[in-house]
Amino acid sequence: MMFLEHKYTIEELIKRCRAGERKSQELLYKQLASKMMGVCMRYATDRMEAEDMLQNGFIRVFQKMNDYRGDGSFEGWVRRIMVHSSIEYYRKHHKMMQAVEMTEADEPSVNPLAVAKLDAKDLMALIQQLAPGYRIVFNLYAIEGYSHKEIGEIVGITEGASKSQLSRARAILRDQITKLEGKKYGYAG
Amino acid sequence: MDMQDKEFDNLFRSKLDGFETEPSANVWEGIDAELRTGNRRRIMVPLLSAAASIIVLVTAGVLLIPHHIKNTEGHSVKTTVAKRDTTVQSPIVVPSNKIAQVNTTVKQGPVKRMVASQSVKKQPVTVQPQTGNTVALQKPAVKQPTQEVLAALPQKHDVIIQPKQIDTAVLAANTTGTPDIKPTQAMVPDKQIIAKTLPPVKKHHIHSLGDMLNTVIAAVDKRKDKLIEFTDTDDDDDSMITGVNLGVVAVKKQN
Repeated sequence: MMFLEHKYTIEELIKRCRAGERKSQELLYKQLASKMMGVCMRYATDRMEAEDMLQNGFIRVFQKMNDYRGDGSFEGWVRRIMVHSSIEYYRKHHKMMQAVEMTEADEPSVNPLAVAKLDAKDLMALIQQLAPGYRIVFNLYAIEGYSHKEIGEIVGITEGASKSQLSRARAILRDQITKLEGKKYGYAG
Repeated sequence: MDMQDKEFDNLFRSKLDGFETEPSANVWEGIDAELRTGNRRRIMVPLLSAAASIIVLVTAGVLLIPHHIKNTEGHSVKTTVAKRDTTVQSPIVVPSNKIAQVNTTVKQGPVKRMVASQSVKKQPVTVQPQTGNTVALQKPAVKQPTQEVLAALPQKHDVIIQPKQIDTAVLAANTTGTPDIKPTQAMVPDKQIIAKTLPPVKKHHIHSLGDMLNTVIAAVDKRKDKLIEFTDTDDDDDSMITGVNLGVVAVKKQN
């Protein structure tokens, strides 16, 4: 059982948030904000966009608090809301699924060690450079663990389009990693 | 050495799944502000809806009730006239061997029509046929001519009329057998009596946009000088502002 502020368990905090206690809402926000900011960063182009997504997501969390029935972890429920909030953000801002045409180049081979050497910030920067459509599908499939069918329903595209976009996203990321590797070791990728 | 898609994805997942970074402080401020606005909106929407409903009902009431009162006034005119006519209940003994009822036809104004339409045929009139005069009983009643006519009657005739009720009947005596009193002459004082008793009922028709606005404004603004007044004209397109009353400043064009 998670204890917060040496006083409240997460269940007590949820109960107080449902009652509209602003102080409890702030405590809950502080408890989860950094983790959820990490989620939003993967779907955003930059930090400012991620903060907008985070804000919208938490507003929805507090508004829909009664919808949480206790099935599964509360953190997982909030995380799903953040993901949907991030996708909704792109829908509203007309940035959705504009697949960037790319040449069907052969996927460059990537040394796993090279990827392992990259830290989280480098990988985050690579993901943020992807076009929104690729970024969303890659995040949903590779990191959140959704199937192509689920991604199709969430994003509003076909299963085939989801597979295609995932494949292209991987190709772009591999290409970028190879280039980074080349820079690091002094040869062009 | 190449890596498979699954392995590639796992590397990203392992490094990014637990990624945390502190958001700036204004994110909570934005959430807090939005939640407060949302709560206020949830409270205000029902209140505003109720207020809007009340305004609509009051406006509808203000616009509809005056029409109802006008109709009531119209009925009261009829009722009053009818009562005045039916007050002739005492027997009027007129020395005459011939009585003629003169039905007056009045073609002016709604009030006159209402008076003319009242039937006085059922009023009891007792005639003693021992005299030789011809008396015309004219309705509706006129006070002054009746008294004058009665004064002109010879004293030997037995004319019994109760003083409070003589205004409802006109007796015209004509020794020659033909009534002298013309209907138009009789109606003039009748009109005056009714005019003294009741305010004139003026049917106002809306002919122009100005008339319509005047009616609406009059329903809301009960002051003598309305907030804004338009010309009371029958011309459809010539409605002009004739008066403005802003409380402190009031301008009115004199006609």
